[in-house]
Parts: sequence; structure tokens; C-alpha cells
Amino acid sequence: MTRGRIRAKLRQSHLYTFTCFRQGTADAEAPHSFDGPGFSRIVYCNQPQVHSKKPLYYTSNNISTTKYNIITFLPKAIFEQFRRVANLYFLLAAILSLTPVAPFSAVSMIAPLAFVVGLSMAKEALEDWRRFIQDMKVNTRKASIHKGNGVFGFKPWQRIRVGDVVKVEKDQFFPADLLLLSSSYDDGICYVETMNLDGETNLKVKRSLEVTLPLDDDGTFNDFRATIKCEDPNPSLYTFVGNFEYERQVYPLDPSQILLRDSKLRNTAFVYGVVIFTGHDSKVMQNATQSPSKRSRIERKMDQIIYILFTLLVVISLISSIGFAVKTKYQMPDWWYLQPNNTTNLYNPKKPALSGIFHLVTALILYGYLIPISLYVSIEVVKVLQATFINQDIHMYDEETGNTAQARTSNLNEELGQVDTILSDKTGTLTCNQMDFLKCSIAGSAYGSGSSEVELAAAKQMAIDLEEQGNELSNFPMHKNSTGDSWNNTSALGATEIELETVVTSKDEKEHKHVIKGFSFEDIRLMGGNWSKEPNADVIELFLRILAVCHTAIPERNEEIGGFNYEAESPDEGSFLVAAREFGFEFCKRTHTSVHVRERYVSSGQPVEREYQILNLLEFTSKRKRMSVIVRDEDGQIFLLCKGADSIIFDRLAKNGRMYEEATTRHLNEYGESGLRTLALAYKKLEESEYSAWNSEFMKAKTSIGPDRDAMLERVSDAMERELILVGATAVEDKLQKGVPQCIDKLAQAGLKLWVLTGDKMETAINIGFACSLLRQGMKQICITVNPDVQTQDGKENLLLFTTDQAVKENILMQITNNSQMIKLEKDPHAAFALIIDGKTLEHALADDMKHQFLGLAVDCASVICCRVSPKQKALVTRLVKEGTGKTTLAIGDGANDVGMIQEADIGVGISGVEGMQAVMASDFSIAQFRFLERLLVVHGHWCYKRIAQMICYFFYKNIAFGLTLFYFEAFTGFSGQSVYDDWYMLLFNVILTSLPVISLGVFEQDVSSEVCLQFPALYQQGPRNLFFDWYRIFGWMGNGLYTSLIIFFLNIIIFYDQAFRSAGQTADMSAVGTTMFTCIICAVNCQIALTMSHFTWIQHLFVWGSITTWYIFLLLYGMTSPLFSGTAYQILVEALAPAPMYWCATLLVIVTCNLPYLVHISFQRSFNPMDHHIIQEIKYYRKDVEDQYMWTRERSKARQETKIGFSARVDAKIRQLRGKLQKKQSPTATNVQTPLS
Amino acid sequence: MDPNGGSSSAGAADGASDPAAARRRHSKKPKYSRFTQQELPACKPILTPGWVISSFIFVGIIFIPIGLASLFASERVVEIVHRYDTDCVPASYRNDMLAYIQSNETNKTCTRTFLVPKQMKSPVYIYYQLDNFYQNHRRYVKSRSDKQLRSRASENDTSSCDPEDVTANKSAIVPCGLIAWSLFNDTYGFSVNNTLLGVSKKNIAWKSDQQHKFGSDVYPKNFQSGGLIGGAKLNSSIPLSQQVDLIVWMRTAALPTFRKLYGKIEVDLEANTELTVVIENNYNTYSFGGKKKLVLSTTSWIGGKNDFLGIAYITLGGLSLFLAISFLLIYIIKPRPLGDPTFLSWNRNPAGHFNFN
Repeated sequence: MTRGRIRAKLRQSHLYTFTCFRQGTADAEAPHSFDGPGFSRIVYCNQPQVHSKKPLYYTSNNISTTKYNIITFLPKAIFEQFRRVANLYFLLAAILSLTPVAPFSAVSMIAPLAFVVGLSMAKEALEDWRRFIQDMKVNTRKASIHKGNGVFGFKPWQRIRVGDVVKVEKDQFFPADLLLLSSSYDDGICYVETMNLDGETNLKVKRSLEVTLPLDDDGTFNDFRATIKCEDPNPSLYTFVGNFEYERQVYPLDPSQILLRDSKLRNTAFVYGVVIFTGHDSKVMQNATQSPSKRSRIERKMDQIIYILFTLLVVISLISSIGFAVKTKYQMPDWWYLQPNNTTNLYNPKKPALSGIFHLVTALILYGYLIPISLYVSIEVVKVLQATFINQDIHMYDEETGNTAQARTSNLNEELGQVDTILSDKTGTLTCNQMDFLKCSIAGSAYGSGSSEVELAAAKQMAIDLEEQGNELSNFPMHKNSTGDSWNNTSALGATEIELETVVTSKDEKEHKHVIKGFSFEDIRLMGGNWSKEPNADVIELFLRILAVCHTAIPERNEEIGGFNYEAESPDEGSFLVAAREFGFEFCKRTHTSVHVRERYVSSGQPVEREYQILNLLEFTSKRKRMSVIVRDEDGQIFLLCKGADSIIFDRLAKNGRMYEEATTRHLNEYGESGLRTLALAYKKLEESEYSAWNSEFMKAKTSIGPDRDAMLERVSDAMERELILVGATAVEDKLQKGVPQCIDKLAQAGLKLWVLTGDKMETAINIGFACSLLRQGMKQICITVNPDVQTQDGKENLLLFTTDQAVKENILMQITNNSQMIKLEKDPHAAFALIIDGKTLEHALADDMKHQFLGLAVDCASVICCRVSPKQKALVTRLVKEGTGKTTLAIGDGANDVGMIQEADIGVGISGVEGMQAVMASDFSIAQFRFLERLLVVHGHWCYKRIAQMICYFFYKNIAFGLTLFYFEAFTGFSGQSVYDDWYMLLFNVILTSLPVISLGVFEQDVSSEVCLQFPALYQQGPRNLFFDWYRIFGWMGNGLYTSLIIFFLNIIIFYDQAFRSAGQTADMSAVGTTMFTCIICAVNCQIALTMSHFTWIQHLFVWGSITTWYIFLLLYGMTSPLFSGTAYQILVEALAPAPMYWCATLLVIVTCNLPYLVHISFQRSFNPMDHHIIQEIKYYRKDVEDQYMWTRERSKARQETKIGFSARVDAKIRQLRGKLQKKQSPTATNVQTPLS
Repeated sequence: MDPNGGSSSAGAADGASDPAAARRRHSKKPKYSRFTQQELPACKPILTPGWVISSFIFVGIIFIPIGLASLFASERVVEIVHRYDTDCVPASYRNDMLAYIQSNETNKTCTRTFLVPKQMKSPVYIYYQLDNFYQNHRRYVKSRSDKQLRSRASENDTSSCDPEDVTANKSAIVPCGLIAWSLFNDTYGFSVNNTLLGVSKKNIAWKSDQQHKFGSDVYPKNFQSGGLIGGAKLNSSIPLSQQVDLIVWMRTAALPTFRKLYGKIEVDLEANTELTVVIENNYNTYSFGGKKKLVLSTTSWIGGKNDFLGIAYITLGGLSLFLAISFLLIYIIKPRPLGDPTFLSWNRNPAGHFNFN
């Protein structure tokens, strides 16, 4: 409130360029004339009752993002469920089970289907319910509405109607799309934060029409009437066309009067607005799109397996129906006990073909157990639980932003374990997008002794390298004498590991030291007012003044510390203002025409508040790359103050303004090398007459209407921003996010490739590349650019655009092929290449005829940096990598410009930092910091991949094992379609008796603990190499299923063949054989899963052994129910089976026989061909890591993929270099020195 | 999971004043629990050579005794199997056995004698064995009505009994269905040295069947009264719960070759006794070429004579011991110290190329 009061009643309309348009425009601009389709909306302001009836009835402000409502839920959700082929198959089977064709009772087909579909639907319903609750929260939010007679009262959002006048107060959200009528500022401007719309954090200014300015009090709305005619609802956030009819005058409306729903009022006490679009008509709701649904590689492969199984199903169904037809035709006439002459078409020996066809249907239903009905639902359950674990991971919780990692879609968890290439945005992802003012160059002298992170990292690395050298040298004599010389190598590596960790910690300490956000300048020559004693004090003063005046920021009083915070459009600007404040030029107030700066340390020593009258403001655009203000100071002098990209400014310097050019250029290069962002500052003094001449020109340009207005403005501004005098340059550090170099290092060790796609310029990108160890000295940098020579030459000689284009293309192609050739010819196995390419070149390189060559080159390079790329190019590059390499790609980014790439990649990860929600909304996973990517991939990805892979394999195994026994039995029943099991057993098989253990496998299995995953990044490669879900393994499991089914069936059949199975003389009937076989299946598959698991918590124990117990309990209870219900299974356990030792003997024999080959297989594999995780499990099991910490550390540092990027690669390169030198020295004397590392 | 709903409301949630936001921020922090952090205490068994060898030995030493015991038990069982389907047809009908069995005039009585090879301790179970008889055919299995068998009230519940559900004049057949209709009707009478041996039918059916599935108030009705006579006729004054032969028959067999309990002889049969059986050979297995056998057998704890179980156990036990020894040898010849890092892929293949298989 206080802040609002300070600024209340100010006229600020002159501050912003566009507001200047207003002068004299009210009559110059005619109202839009439109009618016809697309522009039919009429809004009667302050008369919402008009809109409660047709034809002016518009949708209510009630929003609903739910997919279903109570009525549509059932049909729609059911429809969704049966779009899956497998479910459709089961539905058909269930329908057919109502006919006599069915081999089972209808309930045993319908119940599991109902259960599975019901569960999926329950999940849908729950998710929808959550959405509903969220909607309700929004819908019931209160807003202040004009209730008539100038009285405002609160109403829930959902009851707001079109035409309502709404009063929105500071920091509140707009309840609908509003037309701004007036604000607490008397010029009707207000500030809006649109983070939820476009992800931009800076404030935007909206301003009302001049005619509505008097409506700034509750009372004035008593008899306010107006009409708005405007466009129909549409999703375009940045356009709006409409007319406002008020007091018989028509005024045109444009987007600057529209306050969009879900944006927030900031820095303004209140606004009045009239509702134009409500609810789903509002722009933000029109904009809501579903992100494309993605499926993981494993799931796509799983579909193939399902097709294989379907084929198998059809094949065995055909076999049995042909068998049935043959039996029916030739043998059944003799089977008098079936009354073959008195039969239906299902068993008609006279029509064997027809009976055979009927039987085919029967068989297709009967063998349906080959297709695991519960597979999809189990996987869904597992994935949701896995996602919950990701969300709950405390190690991926960011204290600063309070964000957890979020799996926004759960169906890509396992894909995280198979990533091959990471495509990363730079700003906001690798870097914080927080600028620290670090250095400056004023009047040709450099200030600022602080060092950037790049410099720090380099220094640290130097220190390490030196130490290495020391170690090597001191170790060397001993080395020569010792027998096992690998020891010494590893000690060096061990040291590296430790050093790497100290780098991390020291950086953390450094971060704590910063007190002032955005300012880490250290130089006593400028600090504390000392600048006035410098030789160029006047230039320094000017420099600081430019910092304090030339910007578009708004100061905000910070009540707690009494200073000012700045709301700036870009973080650079913010850091300049903070710097200026620290140097004694505190920007404290902005009015519509002026900027107030409180200047200290001017000769008197007392703070003086100076006012700079802002005459014009030439805004920053990405095209202009500069901004200027024209100010009049207190002495009446007019200055143009300009800041911009160095190249642009240098082009515009006056002859007498190049005094410091040389020195400044040198400094700029230095800054660039240390990874800093630079801007040059310049000024120019204007004569009154000169200015007014220009100003009239400028005003003309501004008020002109037509397509060339922008060009005119551009030209006029350009004319002014010439003949500048260079003052100096600034260098701000785009801070790397915490832990980024370490994370990149680890990811590289895990064998992942990292591409950086950035909108920044090449130099900055290269600097950042060095800072995060993507690049290092000694790496061959391949820069592919549009060769300027070619361009200029052709431009001069050949004016035909086509030829130029062609030449450029050929040139690029040549560069690509030459470099590819060079890489191929490279002999040194350790040579690393880095590809750097810019957006313009990329445009050509991504063309269809060249992209494969480009990709080929890029894949051969250790790191790839694409600079100056547009969002669209980001998406195109992503697609190229995804489709060209066929590997899994992951795109990570934070801003709206990364959305395309995030949606295109196999996995999109959004950084939920400061940059708003766009990227997160489009992403599949969101994390708070780049460094959490390591844990997300290396721990969760690795686990989820293995879990899902094992789970699916096991699923197919168990269903094959079960389904085929039905087939074998068929052969013994004359292929008649009779099943040996009770319907209820089959019903419970997938749903209850085998589902929980496999879910616990999918949720809780861990081959190694999370620490080990992180310590041995090489383990991650098991995923991208797809070791756990290759065809070899899948068919292995299927074979195991086949074997199990054969054993279960035939052993039981032979054991229970014809003789008595118990001492009381009874022979085994079908139910006894069936029940014993089923017992064997349940026990065998559950023992199998126990053998598969390597990690047993109480949950796994409970589920696995509980499933077996459940079977016996079920059998007991089922036998106790009425015989009408349980049929032949009545009392079967108690009376027939349990007292018979034969039953138990048979079960034991079958279980052991089924699992023995697998046990032999895994024992053999572990003994002779152990995989890495086996060995690590053993090390952990015997606590060798504790006993022999040295070995553990050594292996940890060895356990990484051959990598050419990252810290470790740097170290390796250094070691190789030193070793090479040493070897040269030593080789004549000591021939036995080996280099085991290389 | 919800891109559109989230955008409007999630953003809006952040709009509260700062302390509240801080509180919420704090509350967003996942609570530590061993469950959510996937750090539950777990046992992580690994297959050490010790475990491998001892589990194989364990299987071996458990299985071989079981195998021996069941083989021994099976050896003790005395079993006489006597096929009579062809022998009981007079030589004149051998070429057309079907005509013989279907004719009402032929004499179906047939007397067979055989020696008891070893002493058979009572009870001696009498089975009939049928061959190539698809009692497990779906049409056959389904053709019964449990409801009707159980209580008189559901007498007309014959819908599942097609085609043997009702008589021509639509009154229900009790018991209905193909299973009951095709009831086995050969009978055996035993005598030793012209002394008749009593055949007890007590406890040959499951007690639960007699008590709960076949009603004591349900009497046969309209049974075998149609044009087509299947098998045995039932005494309509005896309730179904006492018709033990029917009860046994109605427990359908799993395989086309099956034995069913006929009765038991409750005296010991000494070795080398000559046993005379008078067979009423009524049942038609000739049309489908099924064999008929009479089986006399004693039982042991594993039931009837079954060497397979014992052999299977011994084989598996032997195999396990063999595997145990092989693994032992392998571990001795080519030991791999557990947790030896030299077997890690990066050490086995120092070129940096991983080989996981």
C-alpha cells in the first residue's frame, strides 16, 4: 500500500515510447472499422444483466479444465480405455463370453477387465477430481464487482459476467480479460506481471484510454455506460482489436488496454476494468493446449512384443481349431457319450468347418492369458509410484526456490535411463540469468579486481594440474621401483576426485559471501567514493550517470533495509542500477518525465537529489541492440545517453569519440575471455535546436500510420544515435548455476553427449563452454560460420541472391566435409573436437540436403555449441538429433523459447526457476536446477529403466507360462476348449495372485543404491545400451516362460496320470489336477520373481510370499463357500489335496524344476561374466568399500565413460601430456614403465 | 500432467503475500522418510559361490531322500491291471464288437481269473479304467446341473444339461446331462476259491460330494427313459447322495485315460491266490475303440503305483548335486574373488569400451 501511495497521482505517460504516441493521436487515429465474421462481440459496459440472455449471452467466468463431468465421465472414460488394442480385445472376449462359444463363465472374463479398466478409470477420475478442485479454488476466488449505484462488493470469480466493472487491487490476479478503464495513477497506467502467460518476469505497462481516466472512484460508476465492439475470443495474446463507444464517441482499442486473465497487477494500488472475455473465452484459456503425448522406447518395444504374442495367440488358436475340426469330423461321431447326432453347431461333426470357426473364437478367448490383461494397468500404477518417488526426492529439492522435482507425465520414467544426447539451453539453465556487475572499463582504464567463475575455475584447474605434476614427479622414482605401477596412477586419480570436490565446496562458500545481489565488484579505486580521486573522474561520473539514467527500470522502496530494489526488464539493467547505487548514484524515483538520482560523493559530500528530465526514450530491441535516452539535466543541457552492444556502439562513434576505443576494445576482449557479458556506453551532447528539429521529425514518425511507421521510427532513431562519444564498457557475469560444471562432468562420465543451444552470441557461448568444461584448451574447435569473404565477394560481384545463397551453402558444405575428413584422419585417440556453429549457418546446415553431413560431423565431435539459434531452430536441431541418430534425446530449458525443443525431444525437462512457467508447462519433468539432472538421470532414470524392463519381461514370462498350459491341456481334451482350471483361479491369476509382486519389483527394485549410481556413472550406460530390454533378453524370458509351462503341465500330468493320488484310493479328477497345477504356477512364478529381485524390503517380502499365502487362503475360503458357487473346487484343499503328500511333493518338485535353470543361469553369469552392478553389489556386500577405501576411490574415478569433455577430461589430457613428457625422458633408461591409463 | 488447468491456478496460488508463500514454500519440501527416499532397510542377497553350492547341495540332499521314499512306497504298492474289453466279447462277435455291446440279446457276463502276484493288504481298491474316453470334453463337462443334483427344489433347473435335459414330454430328467446319462455300468463280482468277496462301496466318493453336492432328497426321475439309453440306470428309490457310483463318475477326469474307484475289497489277498471276477460287460467303449481295464491296487502314502515321482526327485536331486560339484570345481579351477574390481568392465577392457555381456 505504501509503495502505491508514493507513486499515486503521478503522470508517467511520457516515460514509455508508446505513450508518446498518444500525443495528438486521439483524433489522428480513427476507430477501427470492422464488421463481419470474427468481430462480432458487443459488450455493454456496466450492464451485465444485458448479457444474461441471448443473443448477448456469453460464457460464464466459470472455468473448467476437467476432461469429464459427472455425465460424460463414464462414456468418455470408457471410450478412452478401449482405444488400447489389448483392452479392446479383452472387451470383445468379455462380450463373447456371454455366448456359448466362451470357454469360461462370463464373470471370469468380465471381472478382470472391469477391475483393470475400473482402476485406470479411477486414476483418471482422481486426476480429474484434482483438476476440479483446482478449478473450484479459482472459481470461488473473490473479486470486487460493481453492484450498482457506485457500490462495490465481493463476488466469486465464477459469477463475474461480461460487462461487469471490476476493481482489482495490487498483487491480485485479473479474474477475466478486462478493458482497463482507470488506475490509481491519474494517467491511467498500471503495471502487469505476465509470468503465467508468457513466462516473462519483467513488468509490462498497460494504459487506459484518456476518456475513461475520470472513472477513478467507486462512485463514478453509478451511471457509467459504454459499449465495446471487438473481436471474438481468440488465442493470440498480443493482439486485440476493438472499438470503445463512450458518450457517443468511438475510440479504438489496442492490446495495451487489455488486462489478461491470470496476469497480476503489480506496483499499482488498484485498477478499474470492464470485463470483455470471461472464462473459456479469455485469451489464456484459449491458449491452453495439450502438450504432445510421448511414449517411451520401452513401451513402443513392448507393443511389438504384444504383437508377437498376439501372433502366437492366433497361431495356437488356429492349431487348436484345426485340431478340433479334425477331431470333430473324424472321431466325434464315435463318441456316443457326447450324443454327436443331437448337437449344436458348436460341436457338429457334420459341419466341422463351422464348428472349427466357432472354436477359433473360443480358442482366441481361452488363450487370451498369453496377453497380460493387467500389464498396462500395472505399468501405470508402477509409473505413478515411481513418479511420486521422483517428486518426493529430497535431494532434488531446491531450498532457494522451494521447488521439488516434478514428474509431470509419468509415462517417460524409464526413458530417463536411456538418454544419449542432452540438448541444453544456456541462459537460465546452465547460467542463473542473474547478472553480477563485475568489471568495467572507463576512459580506457580497467576497474574491478574480482574474478569471474571462469577465471576461478581455470585457476583451480591450474592448481590441480600443477599438483598433479608435482605428484607425478615425486612419485616417479618410487614408481620405477615398485612392481605394480598402476598404484601410482590411481593415486593421482584419487587426488583429482578429491580436488573436484573441494572446487565444489569452495564455490559454495564464495556464494555465501555475496551480500549484494547483482554486485560483486571489488576495486577500491572506485568504491567508497574514491572514484572522484581518479584522473578521469569526470568521465567516471558520466559513466555512472549513464548507468543510473539510461534504463527503463522502476525503483521500489524496500522498507526493510531502506534502500531501493529495481524492477528492470533485463537482469543486466538491474545489475547496472545496483552498481550505480553502490558507487553513489542511487536512482530513487521515476516520474513520467524525469528520473531522480540521489548522488553522493559529489564534491560537497552531501547526497544531492538530481532530476533528469527524460525527453525521449529509444527502446532496446533485439534488432537495434542498443537503447538511448535523451535527457535534459538540471543545467538545461541535453544529452543523449546510449548503451548497447560493443560492435554497434563502435560503429556509431564520432571521430572525436574514439579516444578510448583501442583500450576499451582490449578490455572488452579480456572480459569476453573470462566469460563476461559486455556492453559499451556512450553519450553525445545535443544542442537545443538540433534536438527540437529531430524531435519534430521523431514525433511525425511516431504519429504516422501505416506499414512503414516502424521503419520510419527506426530511421529517425538511427539518425540521432550517431556521432557518439565512447565512455567505457561494462562487464557483468552471467553466473553459472550451482554445480553445473560438476554435473556436466558427471553426465559426460555417464556417457551422455551434451549439446548447448543458445541464443547468445558466439563469443559468450564459447566462454560459457569453457566455464562449464565443455571446451578446454587443446581441443580442436571447429567453427562453422558463413564465411564473410564469400558473402562480401559474392555480394559485390554477384548481385543475384540465389547465387549468393548457393555459394554460401556450398561453402558450408565444404567446411563440413573438410572437417569430417579431418576428424576421420585424426590418429590421436585422445583428440577432442568441438563444433561451434551459429544460427545463420545452421539455417543452411539444417536444410534437407545437408543435415546428414552436419549431423555426422556433430556426432563425431565431443561437444557441440549452437549459438544465435532461434526457438524454431532449437526444435529443428532436436528433431535432427532425435531422428538422425535414432537415440533418445533430452532437451532441457527454462524459458518460453525452449518450449519447441522441449516438446520435440523424447524427454523435455523444464527448469522451474524464475523464468515463469512456459517451459515447465510444456515439459515432461521439471527440476529446479540443472544440477539435479544428474540425479534425475543417473539415479532415477537408471532405476526406472531397469525396473520397468525387468517388470515387462517378467510379465510376459508369467503369462506365457500360464497361458501355454491351457493350450497343452487343450490337446488332451480333443481341442474342445475346456480349461483345466476353475474360472475363479484364472480370474485371480492376473489381478490378485501375481500382480503385487511384480508391482513391488517395478517400484522398489534397486540394483545398487543411489550413492553407488552417482559414484559409478558408467553404470548408466546399461540404459542407453539397452542391456535389459534387448531381444536377446526378451526372448530369453519368453523361453523361460515356455520351459516353465512345459514343466508345470507335463510333470503334473505324469504324476497324476491315472493312479490313486492319496492313500484313501481316490484318483485325481480334473479339479484336483487343475488346482495342483495352478498351485505350481503361483509358487513357481512367485519364486521366480524372488530370484529376479536383488533388493528385498519388507514390502517385497510381504508381496511375494503374501501372494503365495493368499492363494492358499483363497483356496481354503473358496472351498468353504457353497458348492453351487465353488463347484468342483468345493472343499478341495481341506478334503482332497492338503492331506495328500502327493500334492505337496508334486508342488515342490515342479517349483524347483522350474526355477533351477534360471538359478544355474544367473549363478553362471555372475561367476564368469559378471556385470558391473554384480561386482559392485559384491563389494558392498562384503563391505570391501569400507575396508579398502583406496580401492573404492580408485574404482570410482575409473568408473566413467571415456569422455572428452568435463573437468575430468581436462585432467586426463593434462596427465597424458605430462606422462608423454616423462616417458620421453625415461624411456632410454627404464623400458619397463608402462602407461596403464592410456 | 495437466498443462491447462495448472497454468491458471498454479500461478494464482503464488499470489499470496510473502509470509504465506514462505510457509507454503516450506511445506513443499518433501518430508524425509525412508520410504519416500527409497532407503528402506533391505536385505540384498547375492549369489555367492557359497550360496550357489550350498543351495544345490541342499536341493540334492532334500530331494534324494524324498525320491527314495516315494520310490520305495511305490514299489510296495501291488497293482493288478487286467484288460477285458476284447476278451469279454465272444469270439463270434470279435469282428463286430459294437453289435455285441449294443444288442440286448447277447450275454454280457464274462468270467475272468487271475493270480494275485504278491500279498495285497486290505483295503484293496478296485478301479475301472477307461481309455480314449474324453470325459474332459467341454461339451461333456458342461452338461450337468449342480443345482439340480443338490436339492429337489431345483429339479427343473436343467438349462445347462443340453442335450440330455428333459424328456420328450418336457419333464425334467434327474440327474440330467451327458455325464450322468453316460454313467459307467459294468459290474464286477469277485470270488476266491468260490467264496464271494464283498465289495464295499463305502467312502469311495468324497464325503463332501455326498453330504453337500448330491442331495439326500433328490431321487432319480425320468432317468434313461428316453429313446437313447446311455449307460447305467439308477434305482429311483435311492436318493442321489447314496448313489456313490454316480458321484464318483460325475467327478470328471482330467485326461482321456482315467481310472475311477469302483469299490474296495476289505480283506487281504494272499499271494498266488486265484481271483475270479465275474464281469457284466455292458458299457460301450467299442464304438470309439476305448480299452476297458479292471485294476486292483493297494495304496501307500503317495497313493497308487507311481515310480515317476520318485525317479523325478532322485534325478533332480542328483542333478543338483552334480551342479553343486561342477560349480565347486569351476570355482576351484577358475576362481573369481568376489567383489574383485579387476572384473569391472572398465578394468577388463581398459580401452574404455564397455562390454557388459
